[in-house]
Amino acid sequence: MKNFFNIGYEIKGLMAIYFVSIIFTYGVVSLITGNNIMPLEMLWEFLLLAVIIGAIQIFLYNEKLLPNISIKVKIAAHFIIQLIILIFFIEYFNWVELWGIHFSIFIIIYTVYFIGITLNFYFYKKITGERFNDKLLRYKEKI
Amino acid sequence: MKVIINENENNKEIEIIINCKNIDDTVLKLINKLKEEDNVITGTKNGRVYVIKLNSILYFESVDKRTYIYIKDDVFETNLRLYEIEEKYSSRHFFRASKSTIINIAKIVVINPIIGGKIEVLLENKEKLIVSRQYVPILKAKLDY
Repeated sequence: MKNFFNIGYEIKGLMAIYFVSIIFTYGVVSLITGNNIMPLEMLWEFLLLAVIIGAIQIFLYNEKLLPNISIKVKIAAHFIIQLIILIFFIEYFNWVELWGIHFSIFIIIYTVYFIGITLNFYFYKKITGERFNDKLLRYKEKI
Repeated sequence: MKVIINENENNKEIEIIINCKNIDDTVLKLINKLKEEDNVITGTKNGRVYVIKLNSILYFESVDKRTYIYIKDDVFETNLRLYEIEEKYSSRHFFRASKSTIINIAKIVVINPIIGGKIEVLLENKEKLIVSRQYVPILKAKLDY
């Protein structure tokens, strides 16, 4: 039960990040296309998408659930699974016309986004981790 | 509880002998009090009482209202509550890492930040523990981050 709530808490955190990212993307696209309105049901669709991709991320990068899979494989799987879900949502909820020339633009934007977010997490972990471990080393030297 | 003090010039050092019917919480608390100054804590395992050096402890964990002491190759139970351990030893190398754990910083090998503001720590026994987001500032303060 405790683990259930812990995972729920993690999903909630990621869901918030993704939800804000989706809304931000929608805002940028709306600015470019001159769109002034956002249907209320779209807000719920975005929220559902944020919950699903947040849950998938927690599942994929959980060491206890998938312990023996390399991080490269996990990132590749994440890229593909998230892309499929995104396409499903776009198609099912009729967000935009996806196929044709739009599809290649969509893939480029998605790939750039994914690489950007992955690099962001990578550098966050690397920089913060290095700083923490440096402080830990100094702490141990004083003992 | 009866206290008998045997004052004698021939006694070279202070010796305390506890005579009791069985080792219960009162006796364990008494031992803990006596040992407080010596950087040790008492733990029980299979009905036996062990004296454990604080600097050998990796972490304390509370499970189902019981508190356990983890050292490199062994686990002991203590009658102390986690908040009591926190109060007693937070001035040392111990810090509250989550609602159920207190970790010895000196036994951390690697600190690894993870998504959601939490931190994963690798201990000397290769065990990984999580520092909850709400307790990360305590670790930061301890490390002078």
